[in-house]
Amino acid sequence: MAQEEEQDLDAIDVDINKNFTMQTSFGSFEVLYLIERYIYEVVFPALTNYFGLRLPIKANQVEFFKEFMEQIKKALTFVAKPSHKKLALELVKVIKKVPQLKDVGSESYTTKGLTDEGDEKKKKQGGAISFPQLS
Amino acid sequence: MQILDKVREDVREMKRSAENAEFWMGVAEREELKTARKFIEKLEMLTDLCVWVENRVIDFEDKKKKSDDDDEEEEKEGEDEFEFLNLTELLQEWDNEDPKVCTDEEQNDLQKQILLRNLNAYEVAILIIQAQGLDGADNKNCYLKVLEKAYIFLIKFVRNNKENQFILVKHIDLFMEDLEYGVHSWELIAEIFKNSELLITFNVIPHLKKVIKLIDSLPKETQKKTTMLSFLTYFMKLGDSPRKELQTFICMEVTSVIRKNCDHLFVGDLGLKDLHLYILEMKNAYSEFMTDDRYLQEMQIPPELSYTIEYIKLLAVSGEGKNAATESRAQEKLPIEDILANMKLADFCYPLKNAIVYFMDSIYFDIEKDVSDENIQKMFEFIEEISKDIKNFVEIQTRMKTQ
Repeated sequence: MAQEEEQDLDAIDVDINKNFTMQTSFGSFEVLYLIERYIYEVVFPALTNYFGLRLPIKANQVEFFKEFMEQIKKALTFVAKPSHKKLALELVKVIKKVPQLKDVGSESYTTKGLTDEGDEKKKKQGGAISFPQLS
Repeated sequence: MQILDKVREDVREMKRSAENAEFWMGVAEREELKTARKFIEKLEMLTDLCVWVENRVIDFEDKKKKSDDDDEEEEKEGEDEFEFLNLTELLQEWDNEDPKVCTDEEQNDLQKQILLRNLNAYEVAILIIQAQGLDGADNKNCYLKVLEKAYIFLIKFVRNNKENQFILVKHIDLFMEDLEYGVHSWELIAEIFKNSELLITFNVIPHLKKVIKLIDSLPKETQKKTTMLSFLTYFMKLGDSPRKELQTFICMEVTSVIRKNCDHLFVGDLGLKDLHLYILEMKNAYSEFMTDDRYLQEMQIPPELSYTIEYIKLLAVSGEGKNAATESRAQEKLPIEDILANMKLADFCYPLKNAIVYFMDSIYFDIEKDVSDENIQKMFEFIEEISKDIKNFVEIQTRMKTQ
């Protein structure tokens, strides 16, 4: 591939909002489906184990983690499938347990909407499933 | 009850045909092809029964009776044409690159699997596999098409069914003889051991060795190599419990220096350059279908990249739970610096990112040994990469909700 052509292709920003399909070895899937599975089925369990290591947070990393914790909390609001809820719940439990994360916003996390009890209650009331509070 | 009678009758008829398989299977004459076609249709019906379908509708109507009322000549003509098309299909080239038949979403129908077991329906497929008359076949394409359907039926028959898995395990050596044809004989063996206690009681090592040797001999650009490699993960876990000795055996085999064609990762300058080129190839496809309506909006992951994705996943599974031996080997094969570089290059290729994050999790985060100081900083950089994806995901979801 010529260097110029390489640079042109490098400059292309693939917009996954277009929701094209990706053909993998095991079939064709919409890219939005793939990112959803990636976040909830792989990233969340990885974060559960990463936070479980209880690594110290350096002073220059505090701001990053505050922002990161906010993003995770927002991602939790979009969990819909029961299997994803289970993985999200495990992550929230670890986040709430790790002392290092208290200073970067873990105390505002809640398991509400991720547990079966909450779902059952809502089902009985006939309402929709609630998601964790954002603030 | 009606299903039982219908299936019993079909199985009896199929058994008779299977016992005479040498006279029709692989014979490229019209009458024999018709027998093969009918046999395939019946096998497909049995296969379909093994899969859970909500509100299944079964047509018990006798088509023969129905056709008597119609104009006979007209019916015959139509039937001939229809059959001709189907028979031609039997003679067309058999696809050695078939993907696996079971998806994660598909559920087995336990009751129907039991019914088929009680009717000994699996014996029909075993008889077909035992025929092994490929050398003498007139046309190996039609022979392989019947054989393939027999395997597909057995795959669905054993899927998530302990008793059925136990019944078929004694035929493993027979299935091993068909490894060279497509992926289904290996897929069947993998399904027999998937989440089965047979992993504890049965010595599967010689079979694994043979399969890994075959995988090693296949070219990277073949779908068969990737699919066969992916089934190795079934042998490393029993439910949620990793089988440490099998994890170690498989990991050491596929990373061994004598298996040069198994080991394919994007490491070092050359490897990263290769990965970059694959990503550019996909970007090129993206730019083509986004600017021209005639193209399907689909991006194909290059076969070599697909293979590496499965290989990374396999190494990740070998490190699940706590296994110091496989963790060390996998870390050696894919150092954390290269993982970071792979992650940065992966961009929109979520199947690759999926494999990388899974690998990072089971080989670097959830491990038996202590985490080194050197790795702690790299792990943080990895988390920074992940944070970009979460941010992107949140933005997309928010936009979708507000639309």
